Amino acid sequence: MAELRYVGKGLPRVDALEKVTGQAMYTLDLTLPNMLYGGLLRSPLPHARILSIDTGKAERLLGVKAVITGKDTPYTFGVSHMDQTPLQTEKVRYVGDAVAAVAAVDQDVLAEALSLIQVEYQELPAVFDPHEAMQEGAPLVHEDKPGNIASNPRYDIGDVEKAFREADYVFEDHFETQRVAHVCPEPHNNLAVWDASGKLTFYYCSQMPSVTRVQLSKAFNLPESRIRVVTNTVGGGFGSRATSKFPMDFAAIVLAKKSGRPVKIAYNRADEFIHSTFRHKFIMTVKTGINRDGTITGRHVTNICDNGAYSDYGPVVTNVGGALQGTLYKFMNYKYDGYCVYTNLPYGGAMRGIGNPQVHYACEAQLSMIAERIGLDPLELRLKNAVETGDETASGAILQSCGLKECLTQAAEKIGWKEKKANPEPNRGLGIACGVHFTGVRLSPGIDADFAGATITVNDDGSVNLATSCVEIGSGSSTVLSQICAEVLGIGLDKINIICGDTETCPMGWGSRASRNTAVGGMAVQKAAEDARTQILALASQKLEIHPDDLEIKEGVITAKGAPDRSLTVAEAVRFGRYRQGGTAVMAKAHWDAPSTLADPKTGRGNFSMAFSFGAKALEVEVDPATGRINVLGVAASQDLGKAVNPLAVKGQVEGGVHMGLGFAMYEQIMLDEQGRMKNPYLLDYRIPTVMDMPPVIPILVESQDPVGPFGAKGVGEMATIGMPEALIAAVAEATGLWITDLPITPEKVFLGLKAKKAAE
Amino acid sequence: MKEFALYEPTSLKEACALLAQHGDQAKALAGGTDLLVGMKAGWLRPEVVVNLKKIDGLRDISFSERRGLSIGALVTWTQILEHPQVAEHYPALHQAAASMGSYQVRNLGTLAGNLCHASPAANGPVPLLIYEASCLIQGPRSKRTLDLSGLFAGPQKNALAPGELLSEIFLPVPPAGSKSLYLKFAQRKAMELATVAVGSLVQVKKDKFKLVRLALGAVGPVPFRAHKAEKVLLDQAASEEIMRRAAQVAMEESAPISDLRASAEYRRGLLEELTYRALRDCLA
Repeated sequence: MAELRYVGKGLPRVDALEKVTGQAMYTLDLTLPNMLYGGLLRSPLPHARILSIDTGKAERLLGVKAVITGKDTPYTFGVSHMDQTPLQTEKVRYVGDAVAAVAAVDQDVLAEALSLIQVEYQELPAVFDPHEAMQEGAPLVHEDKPGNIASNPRYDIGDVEKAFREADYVFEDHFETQRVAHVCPEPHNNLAVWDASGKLTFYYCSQMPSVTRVQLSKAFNLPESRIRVVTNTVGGGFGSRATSKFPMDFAAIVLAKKSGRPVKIAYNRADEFIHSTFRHKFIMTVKTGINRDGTITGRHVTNICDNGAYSDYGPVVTNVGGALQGTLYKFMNYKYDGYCVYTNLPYGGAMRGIGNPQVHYACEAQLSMIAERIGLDPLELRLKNAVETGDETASGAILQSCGLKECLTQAAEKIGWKEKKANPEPNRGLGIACGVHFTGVRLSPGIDADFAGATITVNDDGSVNLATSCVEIGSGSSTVLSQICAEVLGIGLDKINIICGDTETCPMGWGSRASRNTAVGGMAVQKAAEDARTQILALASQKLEIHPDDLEIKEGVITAKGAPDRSLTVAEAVRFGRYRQGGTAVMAKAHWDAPSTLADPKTGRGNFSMAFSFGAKALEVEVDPATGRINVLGVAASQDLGKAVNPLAVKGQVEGGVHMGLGFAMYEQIMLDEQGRMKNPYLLDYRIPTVMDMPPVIPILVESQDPVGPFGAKGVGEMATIGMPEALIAAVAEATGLWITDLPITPEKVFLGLKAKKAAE
Repeated sequence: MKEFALYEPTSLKEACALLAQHGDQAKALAGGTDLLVGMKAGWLRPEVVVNLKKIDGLRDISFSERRGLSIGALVTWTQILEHPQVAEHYPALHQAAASMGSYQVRNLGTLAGNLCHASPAANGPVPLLIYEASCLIQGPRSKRTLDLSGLFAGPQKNALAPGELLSEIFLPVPPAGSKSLYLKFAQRKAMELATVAVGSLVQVKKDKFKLVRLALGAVGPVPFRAHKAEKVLLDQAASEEIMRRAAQVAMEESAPISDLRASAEYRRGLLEELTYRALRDCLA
């Protein structure tokens, strides 16, 4: 490959200045003339029949412009299961279920109007525990879902029972994870505007504007051409604003229609924790067969996902939780039984890794326990079983690039694994864990597609407008895609204007999710740029009378290879094409569908992603046994990303993944009371680690050069956060002798665990 | 936020008169880092807010070798943190200031507001209890002086009468040769309330404890002095054993609750260990 000028360079982000100066315009910043403020009335009860709703007083309040209830919002929605309606008419299923909505001239009138709506409820028996919910006779959250089972994804590959029979040891252990929130800097919000022609513009901080348009088109029976979805700058997503739709979205649109005025609905931080979804709580049992020499023979994972009252991403999360556990190690006997179970609790959604981090936690934590039990080094045990390039895994993944072993050895080396293991110090411990995640995914039955789009227009002056289906939600996608475009076209990065997050100017694609922007989005940009380059060279060829194959473009100048005196600028080529009889323009487009396949419906096997990214986390802790304080002394985080298109940006993404993983491992927890109300809906007692809590992080980039992705790149976003709790549990166990299997691993659990251990001795 | 009337008096007397007039309906505003959060969230719904920031003379912090430290009602945590003589003479207060909230909170929030908010977990009370601070209380008609320990009436409840304001805080010069410190245990290293906090002031002569002050936070309805534990140590030779015993007595004097941040059992364990460490570190 020729020397790269933009790809592989740690260039500053293209959106850095507008963000650090505060100029970037988020949907939350928008106000329009005559705009109203909308809000929802939510159920105070976890499970109740709605007997009546009286909105009369609210409607008569001065400043109230529209009041709606479920009869105004006859839509059903959901991600995999269409089990949601925006405003409930029959019954409410959790504390927070929406029953009515109001649009008013300001927030104060809105709050008063909501307080004036009278709802009469008849309380119903509720169920708050997924085990109880599965029992016969338990209250049904949805009458058409017996046993409260929303879904039951299974993987059954090889013969796991035989693998257990033939293994030297079989171990079974239980693990539990907690609900954690995305904590997007920008809370969920929207702004709905209908114009006089009946066209809807929906300003909406979203990871997936094109899919939003499809969803709204179906719900409101409007042609997609009569709907515009604009994301503006998006303040984080982490999965919470992917395919999910929320009652607030339908409410804003219907209220705007009814009032004839723009309506904005914005969550505050407390709303955001619960009503933007969160990472589901998983209750897992892991059974592993293993031989004395450390060869894993097979594994069976059972997972009960507490879905909450509605499905949203729950069934998808439960499925993905099982999808990748057959792709990390070489064993070929793998079974997974997932149960996604309704309860009368707030519902979870997609969050960075979409079920994969929870199950990785259980499986990798157990592997470290097994290493201790059978006296093997946890690093060697992993290296012995690790998959490699060329493997077709139990799950059916075909690994065209795999840097897993290098991720493990490099992370171990950077944390000082060998020296520290040889010279253990009291109250200190080391932990290591590894993982795998997909790069884009084809897991939705019935949707055999995983695509992105890009269009390129080259302007008269040789500058470029690049429109992408990917949304810059803070991950750096706009920078990386601009770099790919600049590289292929041979045009300076400063000449490229990237456009995203507007369905009226951007092509359709599946937006920013599933770690897919750089690889799937990047391939669409690469293909469009190659097309534009061909068009430019064809024009230059006419003008210079040189065959296109003998021309090259650098920094916007087209030259003949080996004859630099014969040149033309891209601008001149474009104008040469445009300003003449029967002229032409340089306009290119690409729709790129990632090469992957749907899973076999019977076994769950399939090569469901274009590429698989691997990674490892190694960390060291020091524990103060008298207080339980856990000090993470350092983290080495390795990421097999194929190729770093922007090493600076991706190191930041790996550090961010460590931060989020550290919160999951030891700080964060949505605490619910016995009725499912959040007890800590504010950032003082919902603890994301502060900068002071961050340990030193050593990001390690492993470039395995994937043959499919653009310039060899694979996904990073989700894998970057996998591995922290599983590395931490092992490190804390080494320091204290305690295996704390229910997350988060807190000082209090360490303290009480040590106290109990002492008492037992 | 609910509508309210805002008054901006320019004298303490005027402020007190307004507070007296509106009684329970009124709230005084200094830094606003507790009040405005509560108002925005809707837990606090005052009809009247009396802004103290237009009153002259409340922003001063001064130290003299004779009278000690004087802190006006509008003195911020940042002012305390940056005052050289606070670090020199009142290290426990300096440590409490350093671990208070964030830059933004320290720039706005006041020590007087922190005391009047009367959270058992607050950073201000514990160091001030070991320095035996007193408060100047301005009423609509008169002034009075109150020992700091008398200011706390219960969780988030101070002992001020309607119309009274805490206008100034005095900290006497600590006894010569004494050492003091503040230990705060919290789950995060910043932006935190204490799970348990301990303040200690120790004066040792001829290897014996001549003076011991211990103050405890977040282990009872109000921050308080652990007098029984102090007595255990008084006139005793300094040893690990006696400090462990005092720590146990301090634990027995406390009445922690289980809440979001910790169980009572964990708080008791932490308190015992932190009290021991606070004493030990004063001897170091």
